[in-house]
Amino acid sequence: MNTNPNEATAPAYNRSRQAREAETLLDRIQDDFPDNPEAMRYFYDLFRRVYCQGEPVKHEGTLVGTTCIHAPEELIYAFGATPVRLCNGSYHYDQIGADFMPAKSCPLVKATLGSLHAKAAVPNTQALELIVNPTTCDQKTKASAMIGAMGYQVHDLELPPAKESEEARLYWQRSVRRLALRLRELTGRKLTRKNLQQAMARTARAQTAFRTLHQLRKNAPALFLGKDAFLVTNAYFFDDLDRWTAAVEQLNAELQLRQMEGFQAAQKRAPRILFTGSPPIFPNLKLPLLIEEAGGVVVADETCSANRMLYDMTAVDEWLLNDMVDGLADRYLKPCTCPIFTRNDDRQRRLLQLAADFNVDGVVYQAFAGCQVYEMEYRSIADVLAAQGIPMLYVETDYSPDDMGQLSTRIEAFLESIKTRKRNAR
Amino acid sequence: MTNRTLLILLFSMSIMRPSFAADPLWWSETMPHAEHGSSQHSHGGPVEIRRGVYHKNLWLRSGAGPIDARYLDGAISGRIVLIDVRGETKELSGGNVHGSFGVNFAMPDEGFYNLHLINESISDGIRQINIAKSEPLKHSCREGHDHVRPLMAPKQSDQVPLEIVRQRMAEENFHSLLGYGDTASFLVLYQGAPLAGAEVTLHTARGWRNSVRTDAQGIASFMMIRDYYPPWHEFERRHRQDYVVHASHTTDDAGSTDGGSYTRTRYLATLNGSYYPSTRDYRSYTYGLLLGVFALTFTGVAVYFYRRRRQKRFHEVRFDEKN
Amino acid sequence: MKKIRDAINGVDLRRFRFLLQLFFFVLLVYGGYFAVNLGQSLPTFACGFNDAGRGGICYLLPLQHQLAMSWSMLFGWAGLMVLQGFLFFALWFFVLNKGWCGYVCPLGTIQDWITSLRTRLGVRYSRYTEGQFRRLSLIKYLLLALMILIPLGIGGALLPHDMGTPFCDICPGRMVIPMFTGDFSQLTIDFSTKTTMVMTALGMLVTGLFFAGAFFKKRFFCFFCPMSALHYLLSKPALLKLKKDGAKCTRCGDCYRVCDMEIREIADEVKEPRIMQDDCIMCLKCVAHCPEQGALKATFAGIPIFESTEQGFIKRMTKGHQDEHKPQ
Repeated sequence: MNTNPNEATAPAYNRSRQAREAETLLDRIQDDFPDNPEAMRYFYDLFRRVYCQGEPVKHEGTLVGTTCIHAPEELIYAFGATPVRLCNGSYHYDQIGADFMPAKSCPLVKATLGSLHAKAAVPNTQALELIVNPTTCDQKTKASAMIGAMGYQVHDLELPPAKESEEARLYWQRSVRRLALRLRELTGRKLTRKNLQQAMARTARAQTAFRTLHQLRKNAPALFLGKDAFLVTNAYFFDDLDRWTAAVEQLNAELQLRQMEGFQAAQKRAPRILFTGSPPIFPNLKLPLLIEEAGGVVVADETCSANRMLYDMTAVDEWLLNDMVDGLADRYLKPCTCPIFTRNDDRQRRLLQLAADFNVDGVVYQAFAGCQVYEMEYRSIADVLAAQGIPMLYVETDYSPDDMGQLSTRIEAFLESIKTRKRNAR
Repeated sequence: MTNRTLLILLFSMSIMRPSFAADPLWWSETMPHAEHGSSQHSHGGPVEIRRGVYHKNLWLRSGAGPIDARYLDGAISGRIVLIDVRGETKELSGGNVHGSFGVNFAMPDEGFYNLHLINESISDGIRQINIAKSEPLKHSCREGHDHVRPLMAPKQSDQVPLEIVRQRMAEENFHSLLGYGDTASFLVLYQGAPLAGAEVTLHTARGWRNSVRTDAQGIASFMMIRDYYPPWHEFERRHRQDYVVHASHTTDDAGSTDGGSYTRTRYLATLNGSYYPSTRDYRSYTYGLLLGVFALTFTGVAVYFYRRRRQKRFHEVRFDEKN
Repeated sequence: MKKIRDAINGVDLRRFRFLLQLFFFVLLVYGGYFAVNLGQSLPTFACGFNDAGRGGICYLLPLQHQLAMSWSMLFGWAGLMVLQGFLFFALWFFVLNKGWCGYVCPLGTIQDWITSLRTRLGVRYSRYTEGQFRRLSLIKYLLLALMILIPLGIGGALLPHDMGTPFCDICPGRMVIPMFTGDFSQLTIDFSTKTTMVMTALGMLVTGLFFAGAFFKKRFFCFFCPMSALHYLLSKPALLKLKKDGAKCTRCGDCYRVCDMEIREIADEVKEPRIMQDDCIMCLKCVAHCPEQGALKATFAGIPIFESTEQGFIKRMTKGHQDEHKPQ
């Protein structure tokens, strides 16, 4: 919501505690590590402007908020609107949102609700005309009514709880089609082959850029640190699509140059970590930053604020609307490794494949306190990784900075044990 | 007396009898007292298979057309010459084939065999030379169809003075059948050269006949009639019937032989063939296209309405109320 | 070497397939005019009724003819001829496996052209539900069984000789392929006997259904093809294989979306590496549209010849995004 003129007595944003939180983190990200890539300047700049200065983010057309990666962005772009991901990582909003939700609940949902409730939210994206809320985990599902009560227009995008059966897949295709209808009513435009094709071309370009970055992170020793990677993907939430894509393409070019020069962003023997679980969203990059400050490097991740958001690509056989929309729907449902589904075989396979491809030494599994689904999956993932001999560290945390000390100790111990193992194995 | 003795007696008697001069002679593929299924049918006509080799039976008949010509009980004087596919000539002697006079010869090669009977007689000062020709075809699909083209062309013989040569139809191959309504053309050759103005008569199986004169190129054409009108459910696609083509030519050759002297010579050549129902008789484009178009439009319309209907409601799960 | 590999993996499969299909179509439908004769054991619908132009004969025609021989002949020395024909068929088949269906079969090519027409008209296609797919998938085995049993019945004098080629009577290839050389005589109903009447009528109905079906569904007829069933029974030792590395699969379903035959296993099966199902026509569209490196590949005698690559996928999808005026 926009700044209320009655709140003239409130301190300027950039001096607020919230801005401080963001600034502190950005300083750590930039200054605690030497030799950040030139191209990352764009992202550091962007975050400083938006999170520390409270600068509004410009966008085109109608603004449609989404609360989950399951909402098909291409459809929103095709109607001439702009999607913005509302998932929030700020402790400040977490505390505000705690009024709405029980004590032991997901900090992400609390923060999102808090940001929607707040008068001047950051990132400042201006008026949201519609919020698309996929019914994924039960906390998000219940939040739908609360968001509606705050005065927003909410569209419940019905996601099935299982993805194997034909009924579930058809149900999801129908949900997506219904979303298309809602968007048509909202924007007053029609979905045509041309505009959907163009929208898909734009996101495909972004996905391609991401994939290149993803592949570059396979390099040993690492060319690029996880803290920057998370920053890059977090920028995707609110930044202009084409600008973001261009910035990532520049980053890729620089990394490829680094690769040729044999640059090392981390130590050669730095433990390579696969980060999985509840999504780290700026400014809650607590855990990845701790890992890298302790000497590890996050080379890959399986989270919905990074890899899962951009990795999968859509294939279309016939460029006719019916095939394109169903193809999009399939891409958002079928490969999804979100723990909200009944089975997690796909997630297990994905983790094992990432571990193999990226030569991973250990896995850090972050679960937000109160995230029932990630906590419940811990068991099966631990078994699968143990069977492959990959060590895993399970961390239950939330947005508050109070447990940093304890976490830091645990992470250092974990990385140490990995180094010992590798040393013994040699 | 036993049958066999009777037959031998008959044959011996017939040799001593003078040969019939008045009635034309022609070869027929049809068995005397023909019963269906008594010989195996292959492409080209009925054949008999002995130890894997196709054999042809041809019977000599005397008379104008298939409807009234009779089979011969005994042998007839004259030369029987077989020209095989390669062009080699062989003399055959006829004999008793399934009860009547005929020839039986092996057809080892694929293609057309030419069989000629040349029979001479003199009566009333006219020497009559009967030339009965048959052009049986041997083909088995097992031999393939790559060799057909070069074997299609008809042969002419220099051993016969008057010859009828059946002209091939357009694109004819070993599987072609002369059907009702098709035009059969015949070339009449006198001493190797086309004969214009000769009288040619076609006799069909049920007694219909037609006479034309050969044109300047020596060709006479006939359109085959349809004379097979069975009840609908007894219709046979391959119902084979004989036809005979007669050509005659008289010259002023005079002379004398053992049989007497003559002032004129009359050549009478015959050629037999088979004709069948044409595909036009039992194949309908109209019904075929009607059915095809019906299936196409029905399916198209059904899909269209199905798609329209699906926009209204889902395909529901229904429970069977019966216990 | 790597450059050649990359070039092949990034090929525009649609164009490659179109050209190859066109080549084989001309070869099999008009080859007779150029004295091409590939024999009578071809594992594809090179219709034998196309007298003038055929470049070879579909094996099903001589198979039915041979099986219709009288039993005394069939189970005697003549049976060796049947075995020989079958052996040649199997040898031809082993080379391309079901690639004969996806790249060579003229009837398949015709269906692909009809599909092209439909996309140009902007009409969407239909998909089967899983239940329909499972049930309809059995029809081709039924047709294969009938195709073998009916001629055997004729040989044993149990059935009229008119039904000697029961599948050819109902196959749309008999009606459609000779049309390309100007022979429309197969479009007739044969009234000479009751059997021929029924069979040719069925044939014309199937032809009408073929055109409508192929318009609304991609490769409609291939789903019911007994040649496909026969292929599948022999497909284990064939040289061209479709392999899947389940560990790399994200189950994104892209391959399932583009599959003409709507085979779900290609996307959902992650344990079994031999992924080719009985309906597969080996068009390799799945391989071309898989974004995961090495998840799907086509191998020839064990050597991978076409593999799914990230770069290949991106190249093809980018081209698709750009072809705005040609919705294919």
